[in-house]
Amino acid sequence: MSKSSAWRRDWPLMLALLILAIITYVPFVFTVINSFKINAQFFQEFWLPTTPLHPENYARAWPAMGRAILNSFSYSIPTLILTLVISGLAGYAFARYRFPGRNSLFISILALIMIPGILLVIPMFSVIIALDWDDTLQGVVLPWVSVEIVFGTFLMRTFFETLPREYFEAARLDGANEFSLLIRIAVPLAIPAFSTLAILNLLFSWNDIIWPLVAIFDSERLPVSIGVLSFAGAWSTDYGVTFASYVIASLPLIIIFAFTSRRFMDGLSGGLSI
Amino acid sequence: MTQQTTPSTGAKSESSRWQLSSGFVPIYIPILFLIPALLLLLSFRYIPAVSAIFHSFTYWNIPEPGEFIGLENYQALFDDPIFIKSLGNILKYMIGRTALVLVMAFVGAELVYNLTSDRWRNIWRMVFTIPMVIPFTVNLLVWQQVYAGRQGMLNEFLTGIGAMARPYPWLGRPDSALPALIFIGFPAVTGFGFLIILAALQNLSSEVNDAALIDGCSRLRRVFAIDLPAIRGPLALILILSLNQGMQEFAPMLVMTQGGPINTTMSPAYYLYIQGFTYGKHGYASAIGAVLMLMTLALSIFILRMRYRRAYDVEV
Repeated sequence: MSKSSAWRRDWPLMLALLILAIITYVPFVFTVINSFKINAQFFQEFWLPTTPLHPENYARAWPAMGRAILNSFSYSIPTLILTLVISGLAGYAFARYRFPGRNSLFISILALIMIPGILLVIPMFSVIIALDWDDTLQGVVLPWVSVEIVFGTFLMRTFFETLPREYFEAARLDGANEFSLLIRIAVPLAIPAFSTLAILNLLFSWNDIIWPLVAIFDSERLPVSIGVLSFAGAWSTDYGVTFASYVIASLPLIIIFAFTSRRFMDGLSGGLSI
Repeated sequence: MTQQTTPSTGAKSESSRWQLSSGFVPIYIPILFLIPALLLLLSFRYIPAVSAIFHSFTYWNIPEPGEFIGLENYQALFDDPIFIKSLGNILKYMIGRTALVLVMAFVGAELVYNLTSDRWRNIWRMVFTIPMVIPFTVNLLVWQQVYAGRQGMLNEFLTGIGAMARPYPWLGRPDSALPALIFIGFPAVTGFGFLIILAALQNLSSEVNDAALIDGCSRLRRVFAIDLPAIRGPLALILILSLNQGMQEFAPMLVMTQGGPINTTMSPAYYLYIQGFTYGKHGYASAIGAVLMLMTLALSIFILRMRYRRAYDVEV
């Protein structure tokens, strides 16, 4: 099909998509524009950029938001590593070995998806209070991992089952033991599934507000999801600084997305349509 | 990666693949691999779930132990006008939000799928994926600014074009607060639903579409006669996820309205949070959670039944 006839066919669709995209992006573009204004400029000109720009809004928001971003990474990275390792091991065990109780065990893990997370928040709170784990890394990370390994085990099992068993039999005949089968054969082949799990995990731990709200009392240790909320509350009279804090809070994942966009999008759509 | 395997066939075909003669591998190997997962699930999922149900029959103020009081929490709960109101609210919210998300995700995915150019298809997919990486809280705060009475985007826009004489506090009035929460992120194309539906559409065989085109089927008619029935599996998945999420919705209420004005945006999950962590009534909050769990279970089972009744999954 020639270029012009394709265009003739597509233009109504493109127009509709353009309108949807504009409505989607206007609030965010507005936020970025106004993060460079002081209040007087904001009250005078609502929509458009004004000069002079006021990047010092970012300097004001940075100490609190930078700390929150560091905190978020300090919770999210251990959560990510533990989730991948534990789901990988469990998914592999379910996919490759037959053992008594295998199916009922798997179903009882999957059934956890049905239990609303918020129901478990109160008893989990009592557990971390009893262990004196409030305001600790493990108090945030381990409950998060326990949420994520449910879907993770399901995803990794489904993936490992697609690997042909001949690979493993050949390696075993060459004398490889069970651990090296896992590390040398299964894990390298499972990189796409692991990256899907990693992306979903990162979005989850970066966005969750209920558990950090319950498990963290020290405002210096709050992750971005709550840090931006308390910062916006404290600075609500200064629009520019508040908007700057929103932009800073959004940057880390946008940067990660920019470098991994292909894998990121494939991971998102692949992981959930299984 | 296997995309869009039909759920009903997955369970059976798997059993023959990995038949490992049990003499080869000692039993402790799979157990060893499962131990970390089981330990975590036991301490942070299974035991807390049982504990939550048990404590819904107690008067409980952490760290004191619970004191058994029978059904009192449940009786109080169903006499609690705020809780009853929150059930009605969440029903409206759940249905409204799911309808919006499902329709817009489908519309967005069809628009992108029907483009002739592969390059533009990828570009638009990217355009509607990027907002997903903005933190939820930031999204809610930005939308609070959209709805704000003073210096709000919606008001400035509507008064600017002359559609409204004076600004309206969308989140501050009982009749508009809940609808405002439903329309957060409008047009709501962005999201998992869009990506799942688009992936499902792109996996449909092009031969069926070509045949339909040759038979003189219009593009619009094809959308309803071929696409829609063919992707009902992914649609049911999104429906379940979205309804379940709606039922447990918590963050928009916490960030934007605190359940107000006059409890018109109170949701059961947010009420649970207030009762548990503002008033320290952990037994009462557990009872709210138990009711919420029963409703979630009933809903999921109902949808799965609807989905598989009279349904034959054919590889398309």
